[in-house]
Amino acid sequence: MLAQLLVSGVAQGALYALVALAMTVIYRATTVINFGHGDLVMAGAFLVYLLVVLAGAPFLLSASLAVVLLFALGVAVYKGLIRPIMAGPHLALAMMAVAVGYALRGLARLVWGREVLPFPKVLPQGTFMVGPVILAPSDLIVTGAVIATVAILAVVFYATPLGKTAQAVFQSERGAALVGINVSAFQSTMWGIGAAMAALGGILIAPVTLLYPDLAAATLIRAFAAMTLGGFGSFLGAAVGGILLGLSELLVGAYISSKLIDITAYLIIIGVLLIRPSGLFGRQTIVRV
Amino acid sequence: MQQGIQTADVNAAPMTRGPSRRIFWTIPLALLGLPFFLNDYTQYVVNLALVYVLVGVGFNIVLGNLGQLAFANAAFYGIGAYATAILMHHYKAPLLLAIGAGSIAGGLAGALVCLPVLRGIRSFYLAIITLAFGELMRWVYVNAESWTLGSMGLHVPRPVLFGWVLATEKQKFYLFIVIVTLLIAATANLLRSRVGRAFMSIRDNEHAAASMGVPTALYMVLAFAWSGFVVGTAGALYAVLVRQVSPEAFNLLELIVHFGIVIVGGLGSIAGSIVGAIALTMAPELLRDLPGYEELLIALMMILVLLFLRGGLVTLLERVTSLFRQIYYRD
Amino acid sequence: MRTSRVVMAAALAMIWTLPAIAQDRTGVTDTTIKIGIPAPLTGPAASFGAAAYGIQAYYTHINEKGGIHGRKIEIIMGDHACNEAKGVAVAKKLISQDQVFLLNGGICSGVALAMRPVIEESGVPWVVSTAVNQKISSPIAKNIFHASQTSEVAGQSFAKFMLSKEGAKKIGIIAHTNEWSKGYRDPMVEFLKTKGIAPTVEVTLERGQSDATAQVLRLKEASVDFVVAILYEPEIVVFLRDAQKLGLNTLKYGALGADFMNTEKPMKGFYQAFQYKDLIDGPGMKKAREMIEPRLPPGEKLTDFSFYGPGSSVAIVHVLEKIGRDLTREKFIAEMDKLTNFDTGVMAGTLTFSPTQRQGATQLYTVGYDDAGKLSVYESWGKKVSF
Repeated sequence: MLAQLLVSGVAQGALYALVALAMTVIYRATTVINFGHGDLVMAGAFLVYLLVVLAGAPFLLSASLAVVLLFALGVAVYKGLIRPIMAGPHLALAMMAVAVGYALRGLARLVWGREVLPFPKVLPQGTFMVGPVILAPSDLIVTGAVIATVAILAVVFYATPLGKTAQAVFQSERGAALVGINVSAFQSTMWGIGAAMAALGGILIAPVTLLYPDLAAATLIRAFAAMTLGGFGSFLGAAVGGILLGLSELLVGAYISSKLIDITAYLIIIGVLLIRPSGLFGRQTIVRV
Repeated sequence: MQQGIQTADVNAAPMTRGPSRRIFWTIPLALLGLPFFLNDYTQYVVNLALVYVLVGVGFNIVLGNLGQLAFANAAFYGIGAYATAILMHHYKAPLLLAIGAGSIAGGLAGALVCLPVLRGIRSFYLAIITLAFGELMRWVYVNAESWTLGSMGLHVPRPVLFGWVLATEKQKFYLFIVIVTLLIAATANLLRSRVGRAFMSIRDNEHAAASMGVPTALYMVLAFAWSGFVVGTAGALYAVLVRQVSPEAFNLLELIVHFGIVIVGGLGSIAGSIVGAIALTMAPELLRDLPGYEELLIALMMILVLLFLRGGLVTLLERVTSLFRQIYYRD
Repeated sequence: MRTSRVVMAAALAMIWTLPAIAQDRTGVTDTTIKIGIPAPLTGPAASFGAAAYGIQAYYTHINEKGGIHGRKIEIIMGDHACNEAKGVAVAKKLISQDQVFLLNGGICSGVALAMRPVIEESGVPWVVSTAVNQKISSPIAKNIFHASQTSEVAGQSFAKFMLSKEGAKKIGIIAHTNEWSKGYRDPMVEFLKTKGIAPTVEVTLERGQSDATAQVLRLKEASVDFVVAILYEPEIVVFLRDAQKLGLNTLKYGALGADFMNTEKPMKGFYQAFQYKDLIDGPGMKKAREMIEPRLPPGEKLTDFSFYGPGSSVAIVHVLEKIGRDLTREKFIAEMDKLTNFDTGVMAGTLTFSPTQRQGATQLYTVGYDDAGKLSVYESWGKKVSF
């Protein structure tokens, strides 16, 4: 049973990791933590549903379209709503993110509120055994997606000129602008990418549960827990944090009590921030007076 | 670096005494006649608005005046509500004692939540840890069954004030308006005082305040405790008003309503909290014919305010009458 | 002397006519009867609001047929989004502002519990259409009638069905920790206790969780005969998916709250509590379907839940017709109390009310796939319901 729990825990944690990675991209680029990201995940999933079920489009096309559309949404949100208040207090930024998420949720509820929708089955069904462990193709796909994402992000952010740009902007926006970096374009793009990744997360999460507007809430807190555990700003941290969270939840649920699964994430957040705020791989970002 | 919360008028209103203080008290006095124009339903909505006024006033202390991203407001609200409900349901406690317990429980929770702040946790990290705390409290409500009766919710018996049963909304209104007025007055005094100015100096530049000898840690605990006390009282009144306290009433969706009140009304402003509370309590009732638009409308209001009217709706009112600037304290 | 006799006569006359004066006709005019429907039309439980639209459709059908003794039903919906504070507001609005004749609704149990004191104190008759918590109608209130099967009835019914299978002895439970789940679990466990059976294992799956691996493994380890899943729809999907994936091949029983059309099918060995007379597209429900489906508001789709309210409305209309033109709240209550074995044509079993029996629906069926792979409605293991 332990082997099964470990494997499933990793697969479950990979889902959290995906959302956490998306939020880390946005954080690395703009120092903003998007409190509305869970709702972006939901929006991505709903878009795909709309395209597949109502417009009858093939799945891959719909998924790609949803990713592109959400990229555009991310850019639009950044340019129209975040950038204008970037210079202001963090509270306003957090509130704006919350408001955007809430607006998306309100929109979803308005359009689909009455129904809990089944997500089209697109991943190959059926399971197979590897030793004593039962796996589903979705487990492998999600985990693979996470590993690939981390690898890509690591390469991009550490080994390419884009990464240097990212570092420069993160350290000092004005400094970066002075050196000729188009900070605004860079940040918009990063928000777009973060939103697009949210769409990917939604597409992978939604087949697992049904679709409803409040899908976001649980996802968001777990992404926070993943980022906290792994260390804010670290891609590897977000991935590792997510997977560790998934593992913890399953192990706690199986060996201690399934009642505690829900609060594993909260306890991790509180514990890590109080004891070792920088998490496993994060940088020192806590203000000390 | 944390910038000051912007309000529409950077030139703060001068500290006023005398005439404006008297005007301050006339408002609640004038409201005493309100019940005669209202039916049971509209009176209930007014009572609910009063509860949310306290929610906003309390939240604003930490969010607007102290400037910390402490998102534990729904937790304080719930802790106050449960403390009151538990005492009234299980122990048949007298009304004022039960409400007081709710306030104190909220205050203690506030002080507790200040712990991470004292350890240096700020900004988004504080937001996340306080969110986690709020959700943790909901789990506690569900699982501490012997006290909270779990997710079924606690039924609150009829409130009795010194032998006088508060059976109607009208009667509850009088109790509420007294409590709310007293707490607003106390908060205004606090914010007007040296302590209140210390809050804002911490918000504007924590390092500078500390280097000038402001005992930042002490004042932060004070701000959090008072905020918890006020919001805990709001929770207590909620328990008395709705008479059914269940965990789902204090979730993240509720917290967003609290955000709405403070942002839309006016950060850092007591008058703003009042305006915001009224707006967000009346909205669902006025939108009864358009079901489903409520969330979207609140979200849009927040977005618009954040973009264009950072000081909240109260800044619009100030342009109409300068009275608003003088009566209730704001920076 | 004469004066005092006049006074006495006057007093007697007043006392004689008092009952007539005391009869409450609020909400009734020459041409309309106002009925208030509190329901979650928006918010996290909006999918359950379908029941309210079903009620509305049924009343629309009655109005099209000419109404009740020349009066049309004026429907007033009250959306509370499954929030207690709003629920109390809605109750007060319908009672004090809209002044309805009676209330027909009550879908979210928590909100219904919050509304109960307000409604009870007002004396307005309330026929609970959907909510399952038995505390809504117990202890008995003069004006409250619970027309839907309570979770107590349901929990016992789950147990009865499972035990009606030969040799079923070991039961496993997977449930939420919320009031809804406990409302089923506790009566079921109580009933099992009377038969000398205790649940072998109990696990928790919370709302919003998307993985049930740990829980399924625990259930598998316990090798039970039946697993009872007291879960909402999204979580039942999660559980069934993981159960299938990990090879949990026991018989399974699902509680109310899951729209059968959405869960994976055909699922051999998966049974679900069923609150209706027949399958939605079966012969037993044809009449109800014809009345309701075409009259749903535009954009509103027919779901399993659309029928979960109107059963109570059929009873209400029947009672209103029996009373006749002189309609008062007191007469309504008295006539409802005379309802005996009334077949609503929608809900499983019948409705019976009396001043001491206000939870009127005592039977629940079970739905599942038979050996031929056909979806069927059962009274007990192997015994199908006949029409």
